[in-house]
Amino acid sequence: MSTSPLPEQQRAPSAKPFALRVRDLRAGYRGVLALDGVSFDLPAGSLTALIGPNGAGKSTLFQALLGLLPLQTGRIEVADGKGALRFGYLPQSSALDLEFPVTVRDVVAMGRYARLGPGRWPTRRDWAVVEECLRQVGMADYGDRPIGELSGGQRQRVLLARALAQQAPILLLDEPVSGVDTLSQQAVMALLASLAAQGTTILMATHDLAAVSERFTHVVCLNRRVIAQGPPEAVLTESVLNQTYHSRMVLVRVEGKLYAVDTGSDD
Amino acid sequence: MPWTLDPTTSMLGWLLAPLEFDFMRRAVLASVLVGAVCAVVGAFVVLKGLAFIGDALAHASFAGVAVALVAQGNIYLGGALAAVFAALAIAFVGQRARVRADTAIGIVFVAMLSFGVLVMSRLRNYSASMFEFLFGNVLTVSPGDLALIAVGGGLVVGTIVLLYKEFLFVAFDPVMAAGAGLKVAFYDTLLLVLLAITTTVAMRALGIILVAAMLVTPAATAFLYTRRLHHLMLLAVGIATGCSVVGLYVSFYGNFASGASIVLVSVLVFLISLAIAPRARGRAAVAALTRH
Repeated sequence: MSTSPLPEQQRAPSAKPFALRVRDLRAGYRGVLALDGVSFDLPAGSLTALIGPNGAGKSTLFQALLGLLPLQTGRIEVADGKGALRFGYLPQSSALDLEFPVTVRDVVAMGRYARLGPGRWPTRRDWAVVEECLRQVGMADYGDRPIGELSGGQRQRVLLARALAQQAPILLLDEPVSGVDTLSQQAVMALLASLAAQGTTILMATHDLAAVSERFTHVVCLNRRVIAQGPPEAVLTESVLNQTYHSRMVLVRVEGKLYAVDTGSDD
Repeated sequence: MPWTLDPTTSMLGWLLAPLEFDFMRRAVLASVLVGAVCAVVGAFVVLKGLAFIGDALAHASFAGVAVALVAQGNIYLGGALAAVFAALAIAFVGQRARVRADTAIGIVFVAMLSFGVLVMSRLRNYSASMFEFLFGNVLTVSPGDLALIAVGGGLVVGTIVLLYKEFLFVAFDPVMAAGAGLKVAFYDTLLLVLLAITTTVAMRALGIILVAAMLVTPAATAFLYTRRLHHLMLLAVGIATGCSVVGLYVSFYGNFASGASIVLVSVLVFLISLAIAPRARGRAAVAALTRH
């Protein structure tokens, strides 16, 4: 258990090359500044957790990175790719129409559409990518199923497969394991770790602090601005977490796993 | 006067007799084309709950038709311009709404319909031509009308085939489609414009009041049997063309109004399908139909 407070300013960037560099990002909806001067770096091939309370601006940050939200100030630098093809994206459990006539395979193929461009049909190679992504999330046997017949957790894995099918250098995952059972969560985390090891840079919003300390190479703590960033063992301190969550949590480490115990909020 | 047949006539003779007439051959061709176009666009109308907008666009087109009649211009061009204008207005309101969208749509289409009636009421034979435009009369389709139906319908179906995967993605998951870099507002607007052109293409065969029925019914019927969008579209085209032909024969032998006959046959097919479809699928279809 660590209680040493961490300096609030940006941590020095490591020597690794950066896949994504964000500087002084300001953006929001209807005059409310949801992101107020956000700066952080994602090293290439890092598996980074984005943590922060509800309303901290995690989803807004994804929207801003994808260009769906105009920036008031700030710069987004990406090493590879151009336009929307730089990012694979899994939105936070969107309200999908479960009666919509599409199969699992159709949904994953949508990940290929932007890359193909208007007027062009998926080729055999695109369908091969679709099958491979379904296999990676353990849904290879479900290709022909209508999307509405899946459980919530299975559906979430299909949507992850769609994000993978985008084959983008950077993956933005907005709480991809919410609603997924523990066993699938483990499988998804193992998959993400192997993708990162092969060079994909992943930024994933999550509430699971135990998983962050165990599975991720980096953490960005967000609450309208970046409270701290860096490797989990350096960043996950009571001081940083309590600043991030405006809370009074105590960190407990049991057999190497980190647990945050809430002792009452201060707001 | 009802068409009567010699009781000894064979089934084939019964089927071929109406086709001896030029006007009937054109009517069959026109209703099949109109049914097919309505079915393809109708897939999105049913899935996205655009039935009210389709109805509104058809009514709005009447303003352009009336002006074209008075100015002796082309009624299809007039109708299409007015409907496309209404489609753009609806898209504009929908994308930056301060009033509820359906309220705004209701006001726009009633205003344009009233303007059309106002303009037309100055014409002679006002009520007779009103009836034709409101309820359609596919038996009066001229070769020129048929060509325009084919061109307009071809434009609509061609655009949907060309941009099929974009329309599918945007309809299924607009959030993710935008995230992947698709111009969601562009495709939403384009779909409304295609819907506007469809209502004009269907004007002669179905009239501005009955168009909405053909936009919704064949696609909703196909929805009961299919689990993929392109299957839904193809089956809807089959149902719509079949119902159009059967409806025309009913109209021919029964001396009924053609548009209403076609619509009632397709509603009958929908009701039978609803009765035999799995219950969950039927509930979903009804929900899709009643969603605005």
